[in-house]
Amino acid sequence: MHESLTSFLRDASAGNPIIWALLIMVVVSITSLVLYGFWELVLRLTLYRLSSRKNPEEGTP
Amino acid sequence: MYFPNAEVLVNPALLLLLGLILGTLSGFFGVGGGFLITGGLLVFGVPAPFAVGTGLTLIMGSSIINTLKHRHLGNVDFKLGILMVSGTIPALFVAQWVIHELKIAGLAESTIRYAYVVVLAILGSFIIYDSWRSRLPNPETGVRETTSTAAFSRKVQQLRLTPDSLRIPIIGRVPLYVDLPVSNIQNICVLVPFSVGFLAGLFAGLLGAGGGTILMPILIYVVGIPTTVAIGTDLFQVILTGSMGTFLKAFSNEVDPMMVVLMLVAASMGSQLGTAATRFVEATRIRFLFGITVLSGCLAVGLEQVSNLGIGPGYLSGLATFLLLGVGGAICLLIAGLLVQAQLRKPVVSKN
Repeated sequence: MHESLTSFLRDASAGNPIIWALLIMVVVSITSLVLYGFWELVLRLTLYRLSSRKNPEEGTP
Repeated sequence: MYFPNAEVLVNPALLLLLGLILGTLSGFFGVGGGFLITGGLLVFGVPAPFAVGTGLTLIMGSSIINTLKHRHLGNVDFKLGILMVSGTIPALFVAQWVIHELKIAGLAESTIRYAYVVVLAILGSFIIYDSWRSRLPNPETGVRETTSTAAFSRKVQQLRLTPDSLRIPIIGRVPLYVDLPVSNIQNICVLVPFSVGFLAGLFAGLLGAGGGTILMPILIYVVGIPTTVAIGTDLFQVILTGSMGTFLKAFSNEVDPMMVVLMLVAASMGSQLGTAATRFVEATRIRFLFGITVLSGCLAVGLEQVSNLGIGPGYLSGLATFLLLGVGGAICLLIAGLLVQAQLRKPVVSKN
């Protein structure tokens, strides 16, 4: 299985090296943006949780 | 875990740890960390071409995350970054030409390594000296300057190298002096950031890694930019150099995308710690720790060179990498400690 995966990747990169290079750049850039968004969301939720614990009246009607 | 493109088995926990260290240091110091990542991957048994290519790709991804994070904190001067980039691009081609000429003369490998050791030794020693000096008041004015070169930086900012504007057919008059409000600089000649970008690009191209390591001190000590803004703007620049390197390495199929994505997950976590710490840790302390990292990098490259010459014992090369990883890991722990300590004391430090 390992050999077939390696040969598939080798063929893909050797066939179209420019597309392969651009694909890697796009995948890494999108992963970075998603990870940035994920951590921003986690931090905001944590801060929201902490602030609502400090001021329990806030947010209630 | 098997990585099919690099054809190597590596423990994923080690890769995650390396990614975490890189993300933290990159977010805190504003440098790519090429010397650390390549050395680390080599120790884990990754073949050399894949260690360099995968490292560069990780640097690109980690710089994107860190730049976005620093932009959120108001630490990125995009105007300055774009001006520097216009100097970096031609410099990368000049560096390629210089390397080609050195290779013909048979001097490339050793000359570059010796230059790297000398530059890092001077930089690291100066940064540590300056962080100690800037804790004391200036003997003439009695005022504590942000850096020991503050007076020199003001002169650089006031340099009048060109006429006020340049007339270009069709476009019209183009101003040659710009304000950089994020960096607290008014009316600076565009040739200054262009030259700084050129110099950083030349070093990045010649030494393989180290563009950010050179750029950060130049921005702080020569141009006089606040430390946190220098960190954010430096990272913006690293995205460009990292992207160019990534494209070239991926083109030659020397990147393992699976390894990059795995390490990027950990690096994104580390970058939260590194960037958050820049808000709370004093600028002089950031610079001091950066100086220590640069000196350890210098020592590691020096040990590697001795090992290549075959003078010392055979374990010197491994020792060099373990020294880098050890210092990197210790500084990450220190950053976490400083962050906790600063959080307990609370007030956010000013940008200086």
